[in-house]
Amino acid sequence: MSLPHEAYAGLVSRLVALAIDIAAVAAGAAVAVGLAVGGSQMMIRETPGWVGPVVGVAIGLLPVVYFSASWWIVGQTPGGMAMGIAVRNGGGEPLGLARSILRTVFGLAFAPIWLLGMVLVLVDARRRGLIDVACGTVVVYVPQPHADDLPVSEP
Amino acid sequence: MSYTVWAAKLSVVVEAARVPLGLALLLAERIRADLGVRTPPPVGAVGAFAIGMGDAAVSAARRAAGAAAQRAVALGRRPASSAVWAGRIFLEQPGVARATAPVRRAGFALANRADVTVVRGRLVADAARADALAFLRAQSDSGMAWVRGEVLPTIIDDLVIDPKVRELAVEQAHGALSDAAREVRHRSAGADARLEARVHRLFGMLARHEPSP
Repeated sequence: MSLPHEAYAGLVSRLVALAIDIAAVAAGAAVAVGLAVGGSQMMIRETPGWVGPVVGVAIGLLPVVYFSASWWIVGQTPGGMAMGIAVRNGGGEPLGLARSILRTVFGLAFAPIWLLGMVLVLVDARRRGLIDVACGTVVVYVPQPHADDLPVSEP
Repeated sequence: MSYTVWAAKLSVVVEAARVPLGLALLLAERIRADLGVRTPPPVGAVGAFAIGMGDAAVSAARRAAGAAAQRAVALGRRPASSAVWAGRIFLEQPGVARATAPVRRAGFALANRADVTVVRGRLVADAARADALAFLRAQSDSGMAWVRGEVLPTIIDDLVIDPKVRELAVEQAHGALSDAAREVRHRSAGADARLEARVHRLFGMLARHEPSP
């Protein structure tokens, strides 16, 4: 699929979306820890030893599930929805489950490289970062429906 | 019934009649304003009404005084014409003047009484208008207090539980959020293009992909 250069998302939009996603994951982790520790304290007035590892695993899996499910199901993370950008494969189709997990694991495992590889967006013809080149994905702007195109609800 | 009691009751009746009179005057002013009739200021209109009452009083006085007194009043007021001037010369003869002096005094007294009646009517009309305005303000204040205390809470309760109103509020909030998100996306997309262009210029790269304006 060949799109004009301006159809691909640039560095600023992608970084802002990533920041929103990081904040959302951090908030989710905080809620998980609060519920686990606070709930156990409230119910049995102590924190069992297994709560720590379980919560740690949950927090570790949270970003994987968050990014993978978002890219696989709707092609957008909440941050991407806020910024109007979506991840697609090379043909412009939504990502499959395997490619979503691969992109997530690659990005989280090599997070510094993910961030540094973002610089590539500035010079690539399709504004791809290093993670996009490695996983065969692109990030595009989602066309915004114009107000006049929205369906009018019946009174 | 003594005269004092009768006068007091009459005073009460007169006071009670002032508010309807003032309301009528205000209504007349409003109607004239709505119709765009070019009239003198409100006081002038009220004065015209009072003058009409005074004229009626003068007419009654003139009817009671009789035709002779009316002629005397007319002689004193009308511009002099040749015939009247001749008549006045005749009337100013010492003998005639003495003979007609009581009639002329009566005419002047009637004219003065009519003027006093007109002035008094104007004063009464102004006072009635002021009373009517105060009455309307008091009624308006009490009505607004009743609306605030009794009507508005009920209307607000009805609006709060009305699903249509809730739906409208949700749609408004959703529309505002959508507008804000659209603005953010528009600005970030512009920042994308500007940053890319600056990097290209910084490193001397040819702008292979000119950003759209």
